[in-house]
Amino acid sequence: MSTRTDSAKKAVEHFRTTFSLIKQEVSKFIVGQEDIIEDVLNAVTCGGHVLLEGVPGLGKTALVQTFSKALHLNFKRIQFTPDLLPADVVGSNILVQKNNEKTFQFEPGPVFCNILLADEINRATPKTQSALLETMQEKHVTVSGITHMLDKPFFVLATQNPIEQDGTYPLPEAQLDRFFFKLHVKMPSHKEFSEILKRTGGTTEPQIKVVATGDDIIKMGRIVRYIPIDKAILNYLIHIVRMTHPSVAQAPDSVKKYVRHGASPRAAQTILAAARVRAMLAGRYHVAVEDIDAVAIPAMRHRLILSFEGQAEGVTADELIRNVLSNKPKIRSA
Amino acid sequence: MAERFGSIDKFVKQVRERLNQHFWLDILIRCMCVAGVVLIIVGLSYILRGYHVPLFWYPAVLFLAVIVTSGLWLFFRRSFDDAAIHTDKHFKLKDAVCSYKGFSNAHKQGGIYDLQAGHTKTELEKVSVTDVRYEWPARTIGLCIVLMFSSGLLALKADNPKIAQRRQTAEQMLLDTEQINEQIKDTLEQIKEQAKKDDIEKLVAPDKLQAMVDELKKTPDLKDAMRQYARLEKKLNDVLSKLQQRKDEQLYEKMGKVLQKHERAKALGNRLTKKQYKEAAIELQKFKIDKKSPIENQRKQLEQLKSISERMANEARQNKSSSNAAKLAKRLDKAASNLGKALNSPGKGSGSQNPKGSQQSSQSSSSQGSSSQSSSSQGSSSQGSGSQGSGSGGAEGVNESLSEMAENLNNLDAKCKAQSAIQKLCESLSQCQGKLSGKSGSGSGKGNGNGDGSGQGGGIGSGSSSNTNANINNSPATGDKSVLKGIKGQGPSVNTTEAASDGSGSSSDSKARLIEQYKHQAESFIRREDVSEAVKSGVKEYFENIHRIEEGK
Repeated sequence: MSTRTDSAKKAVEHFRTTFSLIKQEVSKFIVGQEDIIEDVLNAVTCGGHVLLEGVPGLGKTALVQTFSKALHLNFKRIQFTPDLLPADVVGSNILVQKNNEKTFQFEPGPVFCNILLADEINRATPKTQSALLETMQEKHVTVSGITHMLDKPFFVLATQNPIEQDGTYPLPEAQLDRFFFKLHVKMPSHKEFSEILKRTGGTTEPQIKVVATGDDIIKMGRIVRYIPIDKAILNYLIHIVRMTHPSVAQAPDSVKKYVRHGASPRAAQTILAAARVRAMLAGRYHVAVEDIDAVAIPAMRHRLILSFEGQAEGVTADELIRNVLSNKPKIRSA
Repeated sequence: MAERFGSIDKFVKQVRERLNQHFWLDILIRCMCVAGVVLIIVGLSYILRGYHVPLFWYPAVLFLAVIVTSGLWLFFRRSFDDAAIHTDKHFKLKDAVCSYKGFSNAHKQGGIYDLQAGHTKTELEKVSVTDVRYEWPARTIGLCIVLMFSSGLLALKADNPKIAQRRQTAEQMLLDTEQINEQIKDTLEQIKEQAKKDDIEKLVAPDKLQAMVDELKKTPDLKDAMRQYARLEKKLNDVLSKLQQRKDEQLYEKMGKVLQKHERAKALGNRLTKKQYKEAAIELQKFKIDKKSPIENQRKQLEQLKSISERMANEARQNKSSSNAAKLAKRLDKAASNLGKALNSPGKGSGSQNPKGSQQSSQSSSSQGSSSQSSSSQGSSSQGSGSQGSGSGGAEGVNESLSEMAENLNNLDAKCKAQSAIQKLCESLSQCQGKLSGKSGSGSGKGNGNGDGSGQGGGIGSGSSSNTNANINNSPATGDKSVLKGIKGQGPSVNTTEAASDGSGSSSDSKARLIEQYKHQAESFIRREDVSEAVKSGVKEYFENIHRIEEGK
């Protein structure tokens, strides 16, 4: 075996081990929600941001906090409210006296961290929400013409409540597109409920150990890009994304009827990265169609903009994506 | 990479081989189903028409099915890519083999690609190619068996009686036509030999006849057979009509009867009556005037010739059926008067008329041309003109004319022989046609319904035609031949055959069809070979009587 192959093998092994350790550590505190943990970790390793949607009390905030503890990263939390200003998020220049001189000094906002928890992100005004756009995409902040770089790794874990809509501002499409995954946090099962109560109802809480560092996450993100994908499977991925557009002739009727705008190329990038992680976790060194199908829904559900008809009929993006996947294109004929 | 991970390619190749085997079986079973359906359709198409299914269809369709199977297999057989996809699906390798193939095709190797290939190889080592088994399509095989069995059952069905009889008839017809053709050929050979022997090859033209006979083919179809024989008969009739000497024969026969009353010309008369023209020519030579004989004898001979000429002229005048007869009568009259003048005038004086007579003879010869009728009249006129001279020049002219007449009689004899030779062929043909028409008659007599209309018609047409000819040829009453000819023209002949084929039961007018059918049956009965001679002779007598009455008027 060549050195190149050997080092690639070691990197992949490191990825799998680290991923598994983090997952195990988070699972000490978070009961069930294995898919959610895995998807969040998938997004984190790929350097993406996650939007967690679920009713209050399902452990969204706890999940993010646990992650920050396990990864030994700088964690900050912003509770989004309607009166929150962009400067409260990104920071601002303040007048300070230094050596008998009054000068403006940049006071960094809470975004200057590794893990930012944007709790109830839809409660802030669109202006404040937009303040996060540059942060999430470029991973730097520009205040008064001066760009301030954020620490690496940086990722935003946002939460929002799907039920309570009063006094909320739906996230703009541009911002939604910047989220790697949108995950639906489900209600735990009876058994999981019991376990939650057992773990949290006692006098002691599980201790979360640091199992990885920011560097580990960056390394993991790097190895992901090496996982190859066959041309036919790549074509399949492109086809899937294109099928979410009503203007594409091969799109299913449901998409043509209920979708106003389909998923962006950023969705394809997301799917590819997430599928690679899944492939590695499954012990493979190539991306399979199965990986693409598995990550298509969380990667595209927030990127589909439903038409008025779709919204009126209560059609969900998940249903539409499932419909697209069920009409699988024949990339290969058996 | 290719060398290290060659086992993957080998595995996929093995899968491909198995897949192609399965694919061939798959197509074969389906093609056999289609073949079964085709055989059932073919079988039904035969059975519904009353025929049994010919057995050659079974191996032919099955062979075709195998050929189509092989063709489809060659065209659609599984490729290496297909085998890779199938391997991934069958062994749940999650696109490992396909990805490996894609990377190796793109010459991507080392690092993560080697890991991928190694992983694929490891996965394939866990499985076996023999796991790629053929799933026998039980339903399709069942359907195939049922279809084949059903088609096989159809083969057991025999012809219905009507068709079986028709088939038998066709086979018999094939044999019959072959026999008939052979028979006609044999007859032709005999005719050829005879023609060679009698030196009448020019008249008979055996090559032409051979060409006509060579056109005959053996056929299972009665209608076709009758048509071809009718065609041959028509051609032979055309040839015969060119050799037709009947009017001259009649004339000579009448003259012969007249001459029989004359003591000296009795022998000549007998020969002419019996149509022994060659012998008659010899007899005629005897009438030549011997120049060395005394004048008195010559005068006597001339007187006799004059008397004969007058009688012959008289007879020729009475014969109105021929235009030549009138000419002959005129010339014989003139000859008689010239002979009279020659007898009354002194010997040398009349000799001056001889050149005129000869000239006249030559004129008549040139004007009459080569027709048989004209040749006979020419002979007569020569005789007449020849008898104009009573001197040595007149005797020469008479002798010359007699020689010409003898030659003409010889020609007539040759033509008669040629005619009889061709008539022999006609007779043979008529007998064959009669045989065939007899068969068709019996076929229609059994009442096969609509389908046998054509066969019946063909039989009647040809049969009637041949019988008429036979009657004419064999009739001893030569004088009545013209009457019989008239009947022949009116009676159903080749035309009847054609008419019968049109009315093959497809007519919507049932009454018209019935009348046609009755007509055919009646004619068929009349023309049948088994009509007794008494009936035939009765009919002949009836017509002869009518003719006599007409002559009497």
